[in-house]
This record gives sequence, C-alpha cells and structure tokens, in this order.
Amino acid sequence: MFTARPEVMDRIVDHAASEVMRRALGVADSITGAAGEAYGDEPLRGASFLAYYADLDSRGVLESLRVVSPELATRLDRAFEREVGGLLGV
Amino acid sequence: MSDSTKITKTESEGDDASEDSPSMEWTAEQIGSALRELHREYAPHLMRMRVRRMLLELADDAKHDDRTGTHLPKPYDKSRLILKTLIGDAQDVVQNYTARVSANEPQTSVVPVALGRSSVAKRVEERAAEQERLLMSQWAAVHGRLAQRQAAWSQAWGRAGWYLTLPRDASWGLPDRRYFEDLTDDEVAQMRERGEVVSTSDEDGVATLVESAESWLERRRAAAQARAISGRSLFTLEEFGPDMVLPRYDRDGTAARSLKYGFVIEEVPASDFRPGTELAKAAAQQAGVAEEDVERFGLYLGKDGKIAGGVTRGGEPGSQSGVAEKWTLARFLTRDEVYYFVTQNPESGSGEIIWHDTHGGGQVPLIPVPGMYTDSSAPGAEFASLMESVFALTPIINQIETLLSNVATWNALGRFVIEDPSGQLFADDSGDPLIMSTEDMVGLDPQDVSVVKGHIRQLTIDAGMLFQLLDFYSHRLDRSKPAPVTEGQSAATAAAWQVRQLLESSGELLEQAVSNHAEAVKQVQLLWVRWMRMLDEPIYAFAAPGHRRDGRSVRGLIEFEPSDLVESIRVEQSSQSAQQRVVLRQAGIELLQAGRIDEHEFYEHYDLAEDPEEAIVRAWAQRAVDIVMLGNTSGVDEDSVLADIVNAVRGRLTMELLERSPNFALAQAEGMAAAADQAAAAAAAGPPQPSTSGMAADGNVAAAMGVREPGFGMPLDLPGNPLQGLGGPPFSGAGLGPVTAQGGSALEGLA
Repeated sequence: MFTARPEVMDRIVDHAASEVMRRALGVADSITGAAGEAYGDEPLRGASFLAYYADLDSRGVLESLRVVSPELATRLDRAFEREVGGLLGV
Repeated sequence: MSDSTKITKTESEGDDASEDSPSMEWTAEQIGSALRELHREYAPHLMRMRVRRMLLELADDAKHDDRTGTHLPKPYDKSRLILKTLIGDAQDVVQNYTARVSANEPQTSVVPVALGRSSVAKRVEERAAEQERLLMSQWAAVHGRLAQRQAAWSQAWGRAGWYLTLPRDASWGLPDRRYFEDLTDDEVAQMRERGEVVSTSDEDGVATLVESAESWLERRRAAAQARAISGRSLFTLEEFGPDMVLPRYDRDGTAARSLKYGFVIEEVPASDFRPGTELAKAAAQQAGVAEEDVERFGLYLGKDGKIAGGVTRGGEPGSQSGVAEKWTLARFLTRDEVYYFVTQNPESGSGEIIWHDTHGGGQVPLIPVPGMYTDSSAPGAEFASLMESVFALTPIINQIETLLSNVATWNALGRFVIEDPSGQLFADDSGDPLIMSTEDMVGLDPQDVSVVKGHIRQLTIDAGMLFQLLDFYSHRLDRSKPAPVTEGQSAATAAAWQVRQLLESSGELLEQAVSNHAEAVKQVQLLWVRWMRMLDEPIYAFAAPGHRRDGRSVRGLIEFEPSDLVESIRVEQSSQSAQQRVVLRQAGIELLQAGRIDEHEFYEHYDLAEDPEEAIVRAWAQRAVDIVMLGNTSGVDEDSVLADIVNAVRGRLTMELLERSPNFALAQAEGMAAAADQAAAAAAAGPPQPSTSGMAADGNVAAAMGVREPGFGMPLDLPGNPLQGLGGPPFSGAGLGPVTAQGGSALEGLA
C-alpha cells in the first residue's frame, strides 16, 4: 500500500516534522519567556548561580551538556567566569 | 453610467472631449438599424424568454398572460373565486440545476511552453504558476464566483448566459503624465535636481515643462501597487440573461460561433438621462458640449418621438420629458469598440450615441455561456437549456389546475334543475328549463322549507378527465425534472455503487453546461491577457484567497511583467457535486482497503485531490504527527517504515528543542549524566567477565575500563517526551528547587 521511496519518505518526514514543530514549539513558546524561563522565574546570580553551576559540574551534567548543546554549555561557562570575577572583584 | 462600466480616456485633460474621442466606425443610424434588425429577428426568442421569466418568477403579471396557462373563458373570467394557478416546479428545477452546474469553481492552469534548456523551462514553469495566480486573483477581484452562479442560473432556464468583460478603465486607473505651467524657477531647479521634470516643446515649438519619464513610471508603479492593495480589479465582469443580449455571428469556418457584434439591452428609466445624471454627462461629453454646460445637458423625447439631446432643464414645448417611462440603453460591442446607445424603442431604429471608445480586445467582449449547443442557426435556437421540456409542460399543468379551480368553484355553488318523474325538466313561464340558482336556491335559507314538485338535480361539471390529464402531465413533468437521487432521495437505502451510478447518469446532463462555463471563463481570461499585455509596467495583484493551511499563511503580492503573459491557458471545472464526491470517495476507500487500487489512484480518481502525491505525503505525515504528539503507537510495528519516520521526526524535534530551549537541553543532559552514573556504578560493582575475544561481555570496553564519557554507552537517540522540562519549574530535574528561589532561571542574563 505504501511505497517507501526515499524522496517520498523525506517529504513525509519534512512535512511531519514541520507540523510537529509548529504545534509543539507553538505550545512551548506560549508557556515560556524569551530566555526559556517559566512564569515567575528569576535569574540566578552571584553565589546562588555558583552553587548551581558547581552542582551541575559535579554531577557530570555540564559534560553531557557540552555534547548535546555546546552553545548553552559555553554560555553557562561564561556566566560562571563572570560571576566569579564579580565576587573576586576582578 | 455606473462606475463599474465607466471607461475614461487617458489623455483627456484640458482638451475638447469630442476631439479626443477615437473616430467611430459606426454611426447612430447604423447602430439603430442593426438593433432594429436584431430585435425583430429575436422577437420570438425574447417573447419565449418573457414567458419563461413569468413562469419562474410567479409574479402577478403572469396571471394576466394566457401564455402561462392561466386562461379562463368568458364568462368565468369574471369570477373572483377561481384561482389562477401557477405551479412553482420550474423554480425548483432551476435551483437544482444552478446549484449543481456552479458547484465547483473554474481552475485556470497555464501550460508552460519552453523549447530551451532545463533552466529556461524551470523559469517558464515559475512564470506559469505566477500567471495562474494572477488570473485567479483577477477572477476573485471581479467577483467571478457570483457571476458564475448568475451564469449557471441563465444556463439552467434560458439556454445561455452571457459574460461581458471590459478593462475597468482605459488608463487602468493609473496617473497621467503631469505638465507644469506655474512653477517658479526655484521649484523647477529643485525638481530638475530630483529628476522629476524635463523640458520639452509642443507642436508649435513652445517650450513646456513635463514630468520626467522616470518620475511618471514610478508614480504609475506606486499607483498600481496601491490599486492592488485596495483590491481594485483591472477589469469588469458582468453577467446578462438570455433576454438581454442580441448577438450577430460571423462565419469563421469552425464550429465555434464567432461574434461579429452584439447588443446588451437594458431598460432604464428615462429620468436617468435628465440633466446632471451620469448618462447625460457622458452624452454631453460625447456631443462635445462645453464644459460649463455639461451639468445642464439632458436627453429628452422630441415631438417626432426621437431621443434628442440639449442643454435644458425644463421640458421643451411638446416634449415628453418627465413622463414616467422607460428607455432602452443598448451597449453595442464590436471587435474593437464599445458604444452606449440610447433609444426610446429598439424597433424604431433611431437613437443617440451617448458614449463611445475602443477596447482593443480584438474580439467582441461578449462571451456566451450556453447550457447546450444546438446545430441551429435560427436566432435564439443556437442554444438549448436544461429545462426545455419543463417549460413546455408547466403552462399545460397551470391550465389544467386553473380549470380544476373553475370546476371546484362551479360545483361548490349550487345550481339545480328540477326533473319530473319521467325525467323531463320543469320549464319556467317562457318554456325554458327552470334553473334554480343562488338567489332562489332550494335550502339556502335554513328557516324555510321549500316544497318542490319533482326531483332536484345539481348541475356539476365532471372533472374526471381533467384529473386524468393532470396525472398524465404531472407524471411527464416529474420525468423531465432532475432525478430524485440528486436531491438525496433513495440514497439512504441503496449501495454506494448504485447511488453512484444514478448520480453519474444524472450528472451527464450537466457535463456540457459545466464545460461550457469553463470555456467561457477561458475566453474571458484570454481577453484579460491581451489587455494586460498592453500595459508598459508590472502588474500587481494579491493572490486569490484559497484554502489556507494555517492562520499564518499570507496572501502574497504578485508582480508580473506583462510581456511574460502567455495565451496558452486551460480552464477546467469539475462537474462533480458534493454528493457525488462523497459516494465516489466511499467507493475508493472500499477499493483501497480491498487492495485493488494504490494510494495514488485513490487520491487522484476517487478523492479528486488536486495533487495526489502531496495528498499521500500529507496523509502519512499526519499519522506520524499523531504518533509523535499523542504517543499512540498501536498498530505500528517497530520495524515498519512508519516507525522510522516517527523516529526521524522525533530526532528533528529533539534537535530543534536543544537549540531553542535551555531547559530542555539541561533536562537531556541530566538524563545523560544519570545514565552515565548508572553505567559507571554497574561497572564498579564487579570486574568485567573474562572474554576470549578480549572484549567486555556487554561490548562496552570503555565502561569496563572505567572510562566515563558523556554519551558513551548510552542510547544514540534521546528517548522520552521531547517536551520534558518545558514549562515546568526550571531545573526541577536537577534537584535544585531551593536554589532557584521563586523558580528562578539560571539562564536569564547569560551572555
């Protein structure tokens, strides 16, 4: 009944992916803010952020993050350096 | 003249209108003569159409016209009790046919023609698609759907409808070139600097300032865009019934009848030509009346019964101005020209040309939309409607029912004779049979008891034969109507294929009417193409509103070079009704499920999808979307292609979310880290089993070696709900709830 021609499969995947993303990301975008924060969130700063960062690092989450989302990992690293610099006054 | 039919001249400013008007190939006398001839030739046809309209509209005048079957012989015509009956069956049938003939909109496709390389062919194909959108947008802009329904109505009852299309105005609503007279030197210098003005000299060698070509073209472009944005169409499209058009055909050596010229005749109140009206002003300009007198110019009926024009406000002595009467406004259309001709009586041969211009289409812009073509050339018999027999039978039935009403009235009123025992009638004093009627009828007054000698017998009319006739003709009328299955009857109990058979056979009658309309639309659009090719700048239009897949789809502005327009177009219109489609689709589903046809055949021939391949893709994509969105994988084998598609879709969604959602990325990283911890713990729990091949028992050498690397030994995909972590408390998966007071996000403010 279904002919699995590669170009047809690609079109199906393209079409389905765009539909799913349109719906799923539409929902996601509607419940999160510009920085990905949920309603009522506040940014972590200073010692709170350093504790959070250290926890991520100790549990190996940062290492995994460098694989799945290197850009986010880099942003966290930079934020860590900035917060440390702020605390040390350099 | 209504705005929709007004054609203005491109270079009329400041000049005498009569001098600007293109020379006329026809005089008023010639037009009047042609109108009189056609009117006489088509008189029987016009009369037939008049009767049909009365039968359709069931108006009061129909009861006073014997041709509708409402005749009553004297002295019964004086009775106020007899009901002149008009059955409404013709109206019902017209509605049925109109709905079915106009069920589907015409679809224009431009046939791309390219003789060169493939890159050229691709460009041609793109242009063809753009031209299709342009033509359909114009169809929408002239309210083509409404005109189509009107044409279908005419096709159903009156043998043919007619489309009249013209450019909306000769200058396409674009600005004329500007000439400057009262500019100061400074202003001229500034405008020259901006490239807006150049010097030129007129025929007498006098220097004048004129708008530069660049500036003019730019203004025309801006105006064209503004016109497109405001939704103003480039053309007009009007539909006229069969009793409003008088055509004259040429012989051109083909089966197609080529129009030589034609009239569109409309009755308008004579008051429409009084001074100050649009029609009178147009006539004044045509007559070259001075500008200050245009408002005072009007048309009136002179002593000789001919329409004359003059600068007047009051009725001239002997004129009939102001009398409530109707004149005939005839639009006379030739292959190159348009005339507005007004006459008191089309049979008189006299009248006035009140407006004239060329249209440049190269053919008469009147396009017939016949119900059916015949092989006759007799005026009015060139076409046939779908309801000829209905209109033949309707007056007969009207007449029978009217007579039956007469019978009922007669029989309901007592008229008696008195017979003696031998059967002889009693006679009055003069020797005539004694008839007892209303005034002295026996038993009329319940207080009286009349004693009558002899036997009283009521005089009645035997209506038996009338009822037989009515039954006979009604049965014939029923057979002339659309089959009951087209109205949904008998569909509930019959099998799909039986219903389809019935529908198809009833639909065959409409096939020609539907394709005739598609052909007419093609002729209309070919005229549009010719007119648009005359433009010297891009055409702008918005794509016609169609089936939008979602609310974010937009109607794009189309920009098209007139020189790229081609005449190789095709217009198709499906004759399938909604009912037929339902049955057809059902039959296709059964065949598909039985494995007798493939999906492509189903979508192409049974679902009537415009793009069957696209329909297949969308249907399978929908299954994948349902699985990904709802997680319901019942009936989907892990080894199936659909499962692969679902995985691919999940993978793409995951990648997209990793890019767009920090929370999602962190949740995934948390999961990976936890899995790596578990793997490391498992490895630390005991030494790896000895292996003769030198490999760890589970094949994970790295784990056996105590190597801990993100992603190593873990599944290649990212299982679970891709939306995990979105919208919930941030980092909840990390156990850092207290750290993020108020649910704070670590990601805000990140560089």
